Amino acid sequence: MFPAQFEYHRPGSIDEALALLGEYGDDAKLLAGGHSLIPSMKLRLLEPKHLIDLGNIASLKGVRVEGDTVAVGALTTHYGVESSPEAKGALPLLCEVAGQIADPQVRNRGTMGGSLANADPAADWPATALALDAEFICKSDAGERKVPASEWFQGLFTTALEEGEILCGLRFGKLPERTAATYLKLQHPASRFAVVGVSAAVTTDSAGKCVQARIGITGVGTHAARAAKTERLLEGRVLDPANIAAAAALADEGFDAGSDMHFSESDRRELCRAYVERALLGVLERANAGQFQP
Amino acid sequence: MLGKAVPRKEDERLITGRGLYVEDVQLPGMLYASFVRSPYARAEILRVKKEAALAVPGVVGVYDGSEWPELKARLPELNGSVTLTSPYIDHIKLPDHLLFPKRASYVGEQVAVVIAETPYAAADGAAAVEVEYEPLPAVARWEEAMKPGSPRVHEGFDNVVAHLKHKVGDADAAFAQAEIVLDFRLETQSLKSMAIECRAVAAQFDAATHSLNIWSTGQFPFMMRNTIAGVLGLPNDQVRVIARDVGGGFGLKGVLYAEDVIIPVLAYHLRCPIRWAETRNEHMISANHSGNQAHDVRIAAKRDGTLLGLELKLYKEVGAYDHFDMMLQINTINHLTTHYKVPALRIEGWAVSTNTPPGSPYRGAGRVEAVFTMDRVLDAIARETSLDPLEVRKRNIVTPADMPYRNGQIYRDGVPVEFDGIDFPLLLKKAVERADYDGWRKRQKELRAQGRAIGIGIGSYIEAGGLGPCEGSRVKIDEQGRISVFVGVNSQGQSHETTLAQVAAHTLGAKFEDVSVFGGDTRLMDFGFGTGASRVAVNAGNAVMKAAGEVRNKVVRYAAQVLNCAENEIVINDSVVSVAGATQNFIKLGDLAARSIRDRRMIELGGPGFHATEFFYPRTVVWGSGVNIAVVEVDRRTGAVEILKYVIVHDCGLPLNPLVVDGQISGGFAQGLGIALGEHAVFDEDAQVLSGSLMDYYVPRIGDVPEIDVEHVVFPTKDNPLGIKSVGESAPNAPGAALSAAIEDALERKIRITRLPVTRSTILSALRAA
Amino acid sequence: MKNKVSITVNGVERSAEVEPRMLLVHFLREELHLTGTHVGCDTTQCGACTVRMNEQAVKSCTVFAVQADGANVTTVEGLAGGDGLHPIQEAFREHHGLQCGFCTPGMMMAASQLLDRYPEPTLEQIKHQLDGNICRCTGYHNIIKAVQSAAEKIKARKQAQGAR
Repeated sequence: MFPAQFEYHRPGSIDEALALLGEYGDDAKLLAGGHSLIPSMKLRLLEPKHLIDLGNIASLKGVRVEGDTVAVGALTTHYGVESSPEAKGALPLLCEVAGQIADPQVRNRGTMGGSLANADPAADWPATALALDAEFICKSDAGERKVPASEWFQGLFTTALEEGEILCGLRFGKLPERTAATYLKLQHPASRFAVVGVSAAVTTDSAGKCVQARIGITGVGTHAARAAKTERLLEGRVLDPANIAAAAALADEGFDAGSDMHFSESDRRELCRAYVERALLGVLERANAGQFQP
Repeated sequence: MLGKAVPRKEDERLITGRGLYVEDVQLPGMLYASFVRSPYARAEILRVKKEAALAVPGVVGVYDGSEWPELKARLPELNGSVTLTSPYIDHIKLPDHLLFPKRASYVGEQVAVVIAETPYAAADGAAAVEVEYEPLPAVARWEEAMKPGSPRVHEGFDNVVAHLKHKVGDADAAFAQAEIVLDFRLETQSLKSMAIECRAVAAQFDAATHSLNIWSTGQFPFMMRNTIAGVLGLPNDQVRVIARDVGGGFGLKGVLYAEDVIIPVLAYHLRCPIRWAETRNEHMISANHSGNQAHDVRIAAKRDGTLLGLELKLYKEVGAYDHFDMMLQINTINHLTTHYKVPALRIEGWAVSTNTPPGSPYRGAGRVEAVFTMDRVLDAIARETSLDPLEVRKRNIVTPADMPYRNGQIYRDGVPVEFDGIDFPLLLKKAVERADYDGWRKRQKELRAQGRAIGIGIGSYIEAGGLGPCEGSRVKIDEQGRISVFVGVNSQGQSHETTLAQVAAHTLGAKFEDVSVFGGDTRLMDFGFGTGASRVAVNAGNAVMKAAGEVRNKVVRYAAQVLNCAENEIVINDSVVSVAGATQNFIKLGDLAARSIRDRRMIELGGPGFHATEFFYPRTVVWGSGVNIAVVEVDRRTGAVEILKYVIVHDCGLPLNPLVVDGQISGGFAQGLGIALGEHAVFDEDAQVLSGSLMDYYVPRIGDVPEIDVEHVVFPTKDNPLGIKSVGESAPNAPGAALSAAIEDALERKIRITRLPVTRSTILSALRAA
Repeated sequence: MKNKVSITVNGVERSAEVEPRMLLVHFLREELHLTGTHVGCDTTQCGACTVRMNEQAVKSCTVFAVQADGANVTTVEGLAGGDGLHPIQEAFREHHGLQCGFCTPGMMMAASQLLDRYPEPTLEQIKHQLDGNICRCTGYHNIIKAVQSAAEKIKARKQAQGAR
């Protein structure tokens, strides 16, 4: 309950933050919303000597529509996304996901960038970042680097973020016409993280044939990943319940699913397949109703 | 006033943030404690190195029990237990429970304590204490602990610390006659009661009176006072325990813990106020748990569904220290047959130590296990005979014609269990009607045809409450006409300040607004036996009624003299004393009290003012009861259970305050729901805690709790003047049984539910196996 | 090493030198003696420590006091904003929305945000918006009633104010 001592820094700009990061290196942790970091510090699982609070850097906050892209500052809170008229107008899936994260208080403080940089295997955003092929904007002394979502998640709490880098924002490109999407989550009974979270964005043609399927899954493996086999099976076929069932049956393949006190590996795999199927049926329903992402 | 749904008196301070919970106690010069705890389930503590901790800024001291003789004390046996006799027990041998043990016997056991100027510095200090351990083999599961050659939890003591036997009727004959014999094991999980306030204790030495003031979250302040006074060699009255605002208890706080003694002893020696507040992390790891329990059941029944007899082997995990002898097992046994006739019963029970935290009761205290067993037994008979589970119940139920009915058990107070004036078939009938049981059976068929898995389950409980020996109350009227009601018990949220004020106002003829109830402070009364076992309303409620009645007698006798009338003409209403039929002739209660102070006529009435202390001794416990019916839909793909309908029909005698009774039912149900579907204190093979935080230990949230449909049926009791029974521990008991049955039924009995909790994983894995 | 913080709490600016590691909840409780805000867990689950920070409901056990520098914080002690009770407090009392009262301040602060965001909340909205607050005593049924009643009370107050 009582974190160890640390020195607190509150840079006013990204450059200042980078300088501090350069100075303190491994002794420093970046503080965004802090809703994973602070609990870990309270349990003294983490005892950083320096905390660099990014909360004062205005340029890291907010949702902006820039042409065809939706840009979300890394320090934008989940509620900031959930309640953003820009996101609602341009990419409503983001609001749908944000509203399902943890609880209102956590959504008020926790940030999209913090969550994606932490890469908790059961966090919600990673599934959607994958399904929407988000671009991760990282900054360091060397300048800006863009990492595609497909390369971001590398392992348990491990991402492509390099030493000395700060994740500054996410860019979500325009989805193809006629893309319907949804996020379906089985909430962990205690932690409220995802036991399985499925973000599905599927593009169909006017005949109902699946042109492109992007399915991000969180909670099942050591890190979020795409359901590659399911996607491949769907693409080129009609998005209908039979094809969905067949494709969903492959959803857990490639995931290194583990067991814990609540769910066995078999449970996780089974739930993964069921949730993928239901997410896709949800997408189909939306597609049939003409509810596409703008 | 009695029986009215008045809002609570305690709420005003609690909703404005002005309650005073232990962690809110702030005193000048206060120091803070943080405990160093064993990371091993069993280990020799070789050395505690304090130097590094003492060098931490703000650290005042590090103590490992070697400093003062009082720190070598042991916790009292049976502490917190209100067990009076244990008629079934034939063996019990327990190790001493030391404040600072030489050998740790569970993960999280206290090894040393750091005292510092801030809680942060104390935590820094605790992290800096270096302890040398020699890890020893530990035993994490009761099954292992019972095996010969398994590691001993305590050297020189058998892991089976207590044993019991009990029988009713002729079990051999029952099995000889049986057309059906079934046997299976039922298991119920260990739980944490999970009050939102963790444990805490603060202590301050008062030099002027050479006494200790202690603030505690405990449910048994007098027991705590007497123990600490004994340890320090102080008269009881030089130790004062205040336990006023407590943030939930549910049994886990109904026992004295080592910290409860260590902190006051340190405050006494250091002459500084000290506060310790358990963190949730500490709570999850080291606070008591309820212990796993397993029942090997053998059923003798007839083809027509009649139960002939039961054999029960009862295994109870009691953790590293057993402070409740076999209380929980005995509770299970005494509540086992619930509403049904079990002509023959043969029971054997074992209390088994493991290297886990000590066992404690959790709300229900053995009753959940009883209900789960009895209803699973009846459901097993239904399955075997292809009878409807409701029909099996009807064929075995105790009827009003059987009253007074003795089931052959002997309660913990030594009195045979006897039901009287209870109409069990009526409770069942009302529940069946309210749940539309027949309608759901029809819908179940229709919906099954559509592939939907609908199930119905029944759970029936009895609840003994109001356990003695007694409680007392002092009632007095002051010169302003304000009425004080003092009681020896404290509240963890049970609304005593309201319900007991209702009793006093009703009995005295006073205005409810004029009454204040004071409890949770050992200075207020000479005796108090604690809040637990659903005993306060019956014991303290009737004591308040007696004391208020005695005060009323004094008022009447004195008022008759003052108002010049006969005693039987005195009327007291709304705090005004008047003469019947003479509206001009009246005096306010307060004015009468003021007048009595210097009046020599009071010599005959026991001295100045109006006050009285009375105790109520219940003859034995009173029996509440109820029936739960659950209708659920199970999602076979995901293991999700949706509760479509949940009915509770219950009797708790006359309600003192229906609002409060409803609150107890709602809250108890939510806890029962947690027990049924997810709560579980889990340890791994090395007895390390897996459910170490609220990230892992499930507690129902607002969205998890369905609507419930509650019907109150009143079978008043003649056993106490108020005609009340108890309600606190009724609602958690049956959801485990009712929901298990409903889930099994939904899945067309393709799976068998034999253990709680029934999680998604339970359902998914059972379906995979089926 | 300490940092200076200045936080407006219940309308009054309060300054102090604090260790950066001091959690906002400890700042409120130990420095300002506002002990109505409680601590019930250490993993940001229970919500007993909920306060409003710049209007937003936050779990004050998961915010460092230094992060709240310059912020406007309302605790249960300031919920009513003066004498008397806030409609939420009245409703919790009338509907027996509390038993031990330990989770109640956090629950009411979360409810206050809920009613700001959803003045006429549906049952589903109430459940979704109070998911971050655990109550062990009440079983939540009366909390739901209290929130529904509070919504009515607030609406009635606003209408009465509008009529004036």
